[in-house]
Amino acid sequence: MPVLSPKVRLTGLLLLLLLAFLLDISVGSVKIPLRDVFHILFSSSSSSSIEDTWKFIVEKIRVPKACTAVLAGCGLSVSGLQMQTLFRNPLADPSVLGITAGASLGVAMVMLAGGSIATLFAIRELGISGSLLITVAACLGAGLIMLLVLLLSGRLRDNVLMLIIGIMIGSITTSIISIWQYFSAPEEVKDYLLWLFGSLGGVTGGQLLIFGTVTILGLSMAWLSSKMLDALLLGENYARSMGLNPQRARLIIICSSSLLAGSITAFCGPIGFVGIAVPHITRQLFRTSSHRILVPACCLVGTLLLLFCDVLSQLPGNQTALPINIITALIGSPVVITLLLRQKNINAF
Amino acid sequence: MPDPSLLLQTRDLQTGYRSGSKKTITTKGPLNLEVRAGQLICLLGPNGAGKSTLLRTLAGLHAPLEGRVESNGADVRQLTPTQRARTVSLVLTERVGAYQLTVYSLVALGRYPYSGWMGGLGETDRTVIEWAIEAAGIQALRDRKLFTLSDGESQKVMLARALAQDTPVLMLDEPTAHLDLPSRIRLMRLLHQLAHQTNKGILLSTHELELALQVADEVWLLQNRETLHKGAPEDLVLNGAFEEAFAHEDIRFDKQTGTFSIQHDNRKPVLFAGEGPAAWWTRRALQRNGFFVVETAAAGAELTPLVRLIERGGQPHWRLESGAEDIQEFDSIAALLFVLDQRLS
Repeated sequence: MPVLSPKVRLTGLLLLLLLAFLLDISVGSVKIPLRDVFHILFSSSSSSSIEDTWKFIVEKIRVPKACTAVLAGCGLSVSGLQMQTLFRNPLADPSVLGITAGASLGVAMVMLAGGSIATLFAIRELGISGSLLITVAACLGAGLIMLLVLLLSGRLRDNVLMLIIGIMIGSITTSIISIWQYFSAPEEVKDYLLWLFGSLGGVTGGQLLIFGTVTILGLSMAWLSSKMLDALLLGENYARSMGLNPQRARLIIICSSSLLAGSITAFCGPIGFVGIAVPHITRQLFRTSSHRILVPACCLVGTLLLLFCDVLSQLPGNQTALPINIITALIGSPVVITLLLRQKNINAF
Repeated sequence: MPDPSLLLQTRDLQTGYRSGSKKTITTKGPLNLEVRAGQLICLLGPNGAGKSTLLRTLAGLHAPLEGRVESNGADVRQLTPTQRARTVSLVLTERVGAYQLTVYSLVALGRYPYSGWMGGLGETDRTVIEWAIEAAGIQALRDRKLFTLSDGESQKVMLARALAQDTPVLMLDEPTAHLDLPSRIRLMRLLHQLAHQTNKGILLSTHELELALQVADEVWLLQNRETLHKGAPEDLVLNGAFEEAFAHEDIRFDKQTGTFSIQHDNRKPVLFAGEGPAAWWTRRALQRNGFFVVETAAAGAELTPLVRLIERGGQPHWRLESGAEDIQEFDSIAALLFVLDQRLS
């Protein structure tokens, strides 16, 4: 592989990302010629040659969906990166450690406990205040579980044990949700199950604004914590000897990760796999462990992966699109396996 | 008026762990220790004597059970993490995971307590990093990834990182643990030079007793949970502290050479005559195999068997004389031992 500077690689990725973004906008169940898509996107004058439905589809459905993919791709990847560094475990990601399950619990509480009014679609119709409620619930759920995991991690030195405990907490959380489902009306459960498949669509207007704000907040915190993350790479003892305040570092990293994983889980459902795969792909592409490069690079790679997966999910039929969760795992797993097989050291951070 | 050469000082220190109301004492003390500028101190002691806990307590990473550790008159536990990181730097036994990090970036992490929020490096930072890389002698490694380094190289890189932290006190927990003999000697010599040239106070824990005796300005010898002997290494040899600390029925401390030897069960007497290096190694081989070596000068000639070291064509040969008629010759110690063993057992 030719040695390119990180800046060149970042720029290259940025261009690819732009292409993927446009591609994502131009494919869908309704065929719209690329020329018209450009026209809708870049010209303000409404020409009569373009149908109103096309304009509506592009502006109200496809662009928000692509934006959601960008936000979710950034958030999931960076959250995964933070988890892997904090726990010094290459298998860690928000879903493995029960954070996604925590967010799901928050969402389930709102969706299932609120009775029929509080179904997902009802909440989306409620607009900003409703989605705010579900976001807060998801972030709180995520933060709560993560706090629990971290409290336990203070008592343990072994990272593998920590991971097992995280998985156990995730299982407990999932079974609490199951109990809830068992006693809920079928319609409410159906909404919840659909949400579980993961979806990038349906986040529009004010919701997108909330989603974007929370994600950017979480990403900024992650970016600002990159120095701490670098120190944590050497393990907590070294980090402390270099003047890192472990409590403060953990708090900042948990907050940022919970905001990211929580909001994404609230709006898009528990999207698996991106969080664990993208940090590995990025480390391989950029051959660095420095978080000042990894955080933005993960954003780019994550976004690219999610946009690409979204394009693929549109391909099979004219009417239906596959749930995003299926595609991410189908595409991502072989990529990660190939990358890991190519390198000597499996424990690579 | 605080003494400027006094970098770290303990007052009636007792180290250990506290969990709930239960206390586990690792070193009872009370310890009153001093780390001075330009001093290389070796902390010695058997496994489980509490060396690591003492180091971590002195570095302010671990709370003492009793007493306190002071730097410039201030309790190190009261310092902010950054202040503490500007006082003591550490090299630990644990291997770091950051495999994709370059050596330069790792050393640059040593500037953590000085750099800004995002870890940006200034002119001073770069100068100190360059100095640290040169002082640790790792110029050739600077662009290598961590996962390509050998144990010896990676230990020196971690040392460079600690040097980049630019602290008056440097502590190393068993820095020679995974190194081969030449690397151990080089590292110890390097630390000795650093202490004297940079005027840092360097404290390291080690099992390398013989090396420690050669380079240490002061030795802290943890005998067990109760006692810590300190002093110049030579004083500790002469007053028997070493012997006491490592006393064991089958290990003997030789005050002449400052080395430990395994005490063999020497019951079967063998006469020996010979001189030079070959004689020294022959004696050692005989002792190792359970023979009690009697020099010919010290015994009557009647005692058999007699091993005589002779020379044939510039090579040592061994003659085993078990009687006037019974004489055998060997060209290696192994062959001699084989026959001796058969005859006498």
